[in-house]
Amino acid sequence: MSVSMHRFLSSPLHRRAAQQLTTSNQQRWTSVITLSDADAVDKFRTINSKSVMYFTATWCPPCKMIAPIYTELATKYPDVAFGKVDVDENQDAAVEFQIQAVPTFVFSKNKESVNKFSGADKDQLEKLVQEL
Amino acid sequence: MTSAAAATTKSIIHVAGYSSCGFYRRAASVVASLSLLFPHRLQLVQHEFTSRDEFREWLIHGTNFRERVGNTLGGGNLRASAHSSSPFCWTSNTADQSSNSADSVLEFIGGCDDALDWCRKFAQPPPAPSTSTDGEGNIAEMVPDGHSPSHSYDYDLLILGGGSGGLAASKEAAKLGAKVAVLDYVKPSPAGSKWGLGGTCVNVGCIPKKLMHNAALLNGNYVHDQPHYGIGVTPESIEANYGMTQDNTAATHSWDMLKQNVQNHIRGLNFKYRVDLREKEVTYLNLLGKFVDKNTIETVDKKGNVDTVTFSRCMIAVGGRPTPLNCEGGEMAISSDDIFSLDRDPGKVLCVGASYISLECAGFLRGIGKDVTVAVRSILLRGFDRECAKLIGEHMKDEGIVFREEVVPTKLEKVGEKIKVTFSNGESDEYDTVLAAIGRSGDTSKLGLENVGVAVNPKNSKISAKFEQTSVPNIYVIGDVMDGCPELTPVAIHAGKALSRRLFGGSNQAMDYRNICTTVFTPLEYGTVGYSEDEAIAEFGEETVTVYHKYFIPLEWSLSPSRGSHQGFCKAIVNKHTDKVLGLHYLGPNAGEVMQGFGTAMKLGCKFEDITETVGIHPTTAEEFTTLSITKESGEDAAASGC
Repeated sequence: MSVSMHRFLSSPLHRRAAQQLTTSNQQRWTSVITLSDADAVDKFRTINSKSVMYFTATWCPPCKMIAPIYTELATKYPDVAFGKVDVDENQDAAVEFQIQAVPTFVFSKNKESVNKFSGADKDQLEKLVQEL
Repeated sequence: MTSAAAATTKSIIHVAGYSSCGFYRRAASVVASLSLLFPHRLQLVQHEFTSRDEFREWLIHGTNFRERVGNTLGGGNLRASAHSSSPFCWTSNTADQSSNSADSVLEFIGGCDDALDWCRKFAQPPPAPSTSTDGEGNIAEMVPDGHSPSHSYDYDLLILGGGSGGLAASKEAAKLGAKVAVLDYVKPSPAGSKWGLGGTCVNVGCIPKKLMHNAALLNGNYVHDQPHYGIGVTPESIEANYGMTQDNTAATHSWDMLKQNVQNHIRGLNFKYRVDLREKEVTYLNLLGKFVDKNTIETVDKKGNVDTVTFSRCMIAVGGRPTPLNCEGGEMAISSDDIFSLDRDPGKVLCVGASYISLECAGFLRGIGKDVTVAVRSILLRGFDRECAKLIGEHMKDEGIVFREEVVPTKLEKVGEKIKVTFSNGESDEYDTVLAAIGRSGDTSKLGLENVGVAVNPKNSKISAKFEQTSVPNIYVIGDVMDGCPELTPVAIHAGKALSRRLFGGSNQAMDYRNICTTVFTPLEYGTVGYSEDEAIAEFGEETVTVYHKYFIPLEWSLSPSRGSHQGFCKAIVNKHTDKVLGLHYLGPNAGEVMQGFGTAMKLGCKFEDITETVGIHPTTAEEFTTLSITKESGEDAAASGC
């Protein structure tokens, strides 16, 4: 087992994921996970083969509009993990993913970013979730 | 290549090549054209060979002209002696056609491209004399600071302070290839307010101030203007008022909503600044810095971790902070650092001080319906034009702001939820909020300047400098923290960029601190550039200065009965002997927009005639300047004529 594998398997996030997996086999993720530091982002992308991250800010009006829609999508697409990153709280992640505006969505497959777009566009968001 | 263009004596240029060579023909024809245009400055001598072989025989093999030119020019001019193509161009002190004389060669030019470059330089006008109308140069003479590109420090440039000046300077230096870091760390205000990257202007200055001023303007429009333009008017309301329209009664105002939206905008700007630094490859360090020596800063992060950063050059751009109120209970007063993020409605407010900050805060608070008092120790708007300051004060009184004149607070005490303020004349009153705006001081006390010997003015804690260079040559200072610098964002930005260009871009241009236009966003806005009337008279004498003045009623006020008691005002301070404009002053709507262009005119040294000869834009308030004709000394009435 690689060092990084070991790290994520022993992480609280993974334990939480494992719990969810055992308690409800059908629904892996039904809620949006807040990713508060770069480590959390790393683990989130490692343990989830399909994931989307929503970069947001409390001061951003379009974010307020899209937030409930994002939460709905998290319920609607249980095989995709939905994460949320506040660009002020988690500045390292904002730098790493070169976030220039909020909201920005980053779509990943097996830890590889496959898509990214900015703007509170509900249809585009759902389309790219489906494409994962 | 020496600059032949600047020579005023006649240049004789020789172009040698073979007749079928396009490059030869092009070089020769360009020089020929120029010599036709400037027959007294330029003469062409052509050396045309019939074939390439003949040309090469002359240049290289037989007579080996290029070798001899190289020798004539000394040091075996390698460019000349290695040149093997057509054309071969040089200047000489003779027009002798004798192709074999290399002794008279003055300068080897080169081939076709070099000849064209030479011609371009020749045809360029001599550099224009400096536009500085005082005859002063704007060249910065700085002391060598020991910077070498091969230093082993962490950064070429470390900037202390991520405000307007520091950020602009950092991005400019990075653009010029320097390795730059910005340290920014906001120490909470005494009342506990904190903010993000961007400095005073963005977080606790110009930006929130202008937005809140705009709230007041919108409120004013709602109350005083809208009904008279038919907005919100119904047949019933017209009937009830006998066909007249009336001012609206003030609408409710949510301080919380205004504050939250303003703060959201600011946090968006904070984020943009971080993104911007990243894109421009400037390292942003959210750390508090303190000098250890002239090339080392000790840093502390939020958690108290200590580290050091080294640098070849440093720019201090830490700005200033409000001077605290120094009386019993003074700590109960908030400042401009706190008002824009205040988490409760300010309620009844006392603004202490008559600085522009105090008056602007008083103005927008009154404009959104607060009960506001201003405590004035001596005069309004020290440093600005006295006549304009007086008119601003009168207008503010009309708006319902109470002025307590020639008093200072001597005691603040908590009485229930209120603050009881006792004044120096023995009177007292109770307020919900006391806002102190009695001046600003340089934020230098914890910088460790004593460790490097940077000189500080003890009166205001600001750093003395010449051409932004402090007493320690590799430590520079820009913006509000520099002693004598006008406390204005665009000044810091300009000075910072100019300094970065001098440090890393080979420029020698100094920052021009004269004739800077600015605007005070009091309820009656005040735009100004250049001398005040009082300063001009003090400097040039009463017999030299003449003042053109005029009151006017902005058209947009003319349908609103309750605006009727107010007037706008403009004046030009002019040097009677030279007609040069020394200062312009404007009181009225959109003062910033009105004054900006006049700032350019002043920079170009405009004369009063230039302004009155300018065709106005009608109907505007800015055009009032173009119709100024009444001088103060004439004694004629400058008031706006009524209808």
